[in-house]
Formats: sequence, structure tokens, C-alpha cells
Amino acid sequence: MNLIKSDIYQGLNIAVHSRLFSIVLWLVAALVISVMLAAQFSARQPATVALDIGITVIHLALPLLVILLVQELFSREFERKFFLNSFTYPRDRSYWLLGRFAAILIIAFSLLLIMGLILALLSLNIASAYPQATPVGLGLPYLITLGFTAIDLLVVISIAILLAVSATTPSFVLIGTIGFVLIARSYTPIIELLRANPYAVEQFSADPRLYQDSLGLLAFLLPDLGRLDVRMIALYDKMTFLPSDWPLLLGATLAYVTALLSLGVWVLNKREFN
Amino acid sequence: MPRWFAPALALAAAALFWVAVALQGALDIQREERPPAIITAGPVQLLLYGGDRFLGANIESIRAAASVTANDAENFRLRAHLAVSRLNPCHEDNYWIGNASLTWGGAEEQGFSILHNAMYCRYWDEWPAFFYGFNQQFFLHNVPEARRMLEIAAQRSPANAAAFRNFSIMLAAGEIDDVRLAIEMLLREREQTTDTKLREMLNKRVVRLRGLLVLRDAQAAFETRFGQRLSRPEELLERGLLEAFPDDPLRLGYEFRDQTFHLTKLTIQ
Repeated sequence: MNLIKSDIYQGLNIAVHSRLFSIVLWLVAALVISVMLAAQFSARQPATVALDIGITVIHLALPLLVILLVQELFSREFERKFFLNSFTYPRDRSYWLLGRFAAILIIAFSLLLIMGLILALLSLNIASAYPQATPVGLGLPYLITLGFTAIDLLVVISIAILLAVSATTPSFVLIGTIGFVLIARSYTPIIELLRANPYAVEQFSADPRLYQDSLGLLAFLLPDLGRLDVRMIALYDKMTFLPSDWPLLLGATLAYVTALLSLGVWVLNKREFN
Repeated sequence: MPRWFAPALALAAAALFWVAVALQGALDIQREERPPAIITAGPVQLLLYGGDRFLGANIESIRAAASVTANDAENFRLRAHLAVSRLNPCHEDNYWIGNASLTWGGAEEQGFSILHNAMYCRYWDEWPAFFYGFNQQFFLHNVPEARRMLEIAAQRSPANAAAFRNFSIMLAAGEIDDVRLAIEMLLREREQTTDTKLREMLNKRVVRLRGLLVLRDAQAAFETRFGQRLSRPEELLERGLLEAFPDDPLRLGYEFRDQTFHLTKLTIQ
């Protein structure tokens, strides 16, 4: 346990000494500005639109931060051959990986909490200025939404780490992770939209399962991040919008994270440095 | 080659470029009045917005609201409101503004589909159901369907249930002056909003409906005075019941069919 603690501490130390704080400040500023502006554009539900846009900013900003941290803590290590030092200790390499994973997790989750708190305060402020017909749910529904966002982040961190330990260039981490997140987040809504809009594809009316089968295969390769986005329960304060199979959804996603991390450890142990 | 040649050529070429840009009118401020013409399909939008359907819905709804007063933006608004309605059918601004701007702007079928989606997604909200029912009566004269929707609205709102049921009974008895009621509804919506562009948009629709009211009142006066059905709208001018036909600020106008005046529908390109 003490062994991994020093790794976590080391990871946090590297992150703090990189440009972490200025990036965090920019992300928080982006959150505040876009939330305040978005509320101005809504005629009847400013607090809902503000919360909605705020959650979107969190969903876009935190993966970006995670990618930068993984580049800093993993790719840079290989690039500058620091591993010559860190891998010489007589212990398993998995400590090194899991320690730094925990460090990124701590930073990402704290920022999620900070941004979530700021967003809640902003939404409360906007909601007090204009009483809506359907108020936002900033209590338990909001906490559940943030919890599901944390699970989504966990997937992003694991895939970024796997790419970092297997790739030789840091930019592959950026491109690979963004591509992965984009597809994992959009494939279920896209299937839904195609089903709702039969004009999109001509053959669709003849065979409504046309895309379900081929795109459904994706579900075996990628976690369903689109359904992890449960913000509607907070936007409209209606818990019925929570997917009824949420324990299964969470279980599947956590299993996927475990698989990615073990794969990362395996790849790192096999990797030959020269 | 002299030393001044390269910088002079650069300057000259840049000047040429700026002249060409100015000639194209790219800096012309009037261009901003034009509505944005491109609406991408829902699935493509999703990829563009990082797989975030809520972001797509918000951006499209803001774009639609920003072009709310331009007359020639109708076709753009149509597609934008429909896109939001697919990306996030629960979006409150979208069904509210979409109903006011599309349904009362000559595109009632698109208005119906937006209200329909909103009614199913917002299962607690009485207003999409009420608007849907009212529009069924106003545009399609479908009283049974209108009453069914009003009953749904009544079940959703204990506070307004009595008013909705009362309205439903009056519909069945045929005692509703729907044009006056529609004007009142739009005026009330106008009172509730603080946005000047939205107020202007609602104003135009009120003026349009008032024009319809003038025509229908003139027809009623004609028929009681002369004891015969109006066969041509021009008769109202010839017999001195109207000085001129009313102007429609939306430039869609009115039409005379089945011996009554109606709002003209928007032709969709």
C-alpha cells in the first residue's frame, strides 16, 4: 500500500508542477461564461438551458483535461526516458500505472466536484430570477447525473492510459481518445434518431432493424456512454428519465473499465524499452 | 530584381484581395439579416456536437430563436425547430416558440409534429396538450381529437383542470369564437415574454389573426344585411363593408374557400 501511495503522490506532484492550474482556471471560466450566456437565450426555461449547457461544458472539458494529464504523466515519461529511473525499482510495473491512474482520478473527480458545485450555484441564481413552470432538480437527480458523469470519465481515463502505454507518440493519445469518446457517446442516440426519422434512409421503412443489427454490434466493442448521460432527470426533475436498467449499465461500464486497465497493465509489462 | 519588388507585390496583391472581398460584399452588414440556410441532419449534427444531443438541441433552438422576426427565415426555422424536436423533444423553448412561430405563421402541420413530440416527452406538462387540442380545433376542425387532448391536459394539471374541461364542453357545443381566443392566447404569451424579438414575432401573428377577424366579421355583417351567402370576397369592397383587404405582416395572406376566410398556408420549399 505504501508503495502505491508514493506513486500517487508523485503523479499529483508532476500534475501540479505542469500547467494544471492555468488549464483548470480556463475551464472554469469557460463554464461560467457559457452558462451565463446560454441562460440569456432561453425565453421560458433559462435555468434548464443553463444547467444543460453547463453539463455539456463539463462533458467536453473534463475529457480534455484527462487527455492532457495522461500525456503529461504517461507519454512524457516514455518520451524523456524517465522510465529508466522509475522502472528500476524491484517491484511490479502495475504499481506505477495504477498509482498514476489514481492521481489522475483524484484530480479529475475533484475538478468534477468543483465545476458541479459552481454550476449548481449558477443555476440556482438563474432559477431565482425567473420562476419556471418546470423547475430544475438540483438535489438528488443532479448528484446522480454527476455520478454518471464520473463513470463516463473513468472510461475516458482508462482508454487514454491504454493508448498511452501502447502508443509511441503522445498525439495518438489525443486523437485516439477523442475518436473513441465521440463514437462511444454518439452511437446509441444515432440509432435512436435513425429509427425516429425513417426519411434518413430509404430502406429503413422496409426493415426497421436495419441499423440495430449492424450498429448494435458496436455495443460489444464500445461502452454505451450515450446512455450514461442521464441529465434529463436533473433538467426536468423527473426521475423517470433514468434508464430502468441502470445497475446493469453501470456494471457493464465498470467491467469495461477493469478490462481496459488490466489490458494496460499487461501491455506495459510486455513492453520492451530500448 | 530590386529590393522593394517583393514587399510591393505582396502589398499590391493584398490590396487586390481586399478589393475583391469588398466587391463580393462579404463585409456588407445587410447580409447578417439573411437567415442561415444550412441545417444538417440530426445524426450528422450529433457527431459534430461531440455525440451530445442536448448541445445540438440547444444550439439549434438558439439559432431558431435568433432569426425569429425575419420573414424569409420561415423555411430555416421550420427545419431548426424540427431538428430540436428530434434531438431533445422535451425542450420547452422549442415547442413554445415553435408553436407560436410555425403554427401561427402558416406551417401548422410542422407545428403539430413539434407539439406532438413535446406532449409525449413532457408527460407532466399540460401546455403542449392544450395547444395541440386548440390547434386541432382551429385548423382541422377536429372536435373529438381536440377534446381528447384537452382531457389529457386537464389530467396533467389539477389547477387548470376545470378551465380545460369547461373549454372542452364549449367546443362540443360549438360556442367558441376561435379567432378571438387565439388572439387572446398570443397576447397573453406576448405579455409573459421580456424578449423584444419574441414580442415582435408574436405581434406580427396577432396582427395577422386580427386581419382574419376583420374579414370574418365583415362577412358576417354582409350575410345579415343582405341575407345571402358571400360568394366572392370582392363583394365586401363593392358593397362598402370594407375599405380595403387587411394586410398580413407575414406576407402570406388570407384565402377564401368553402365560403369562409382562412389563413393561407406557407408553401414549403
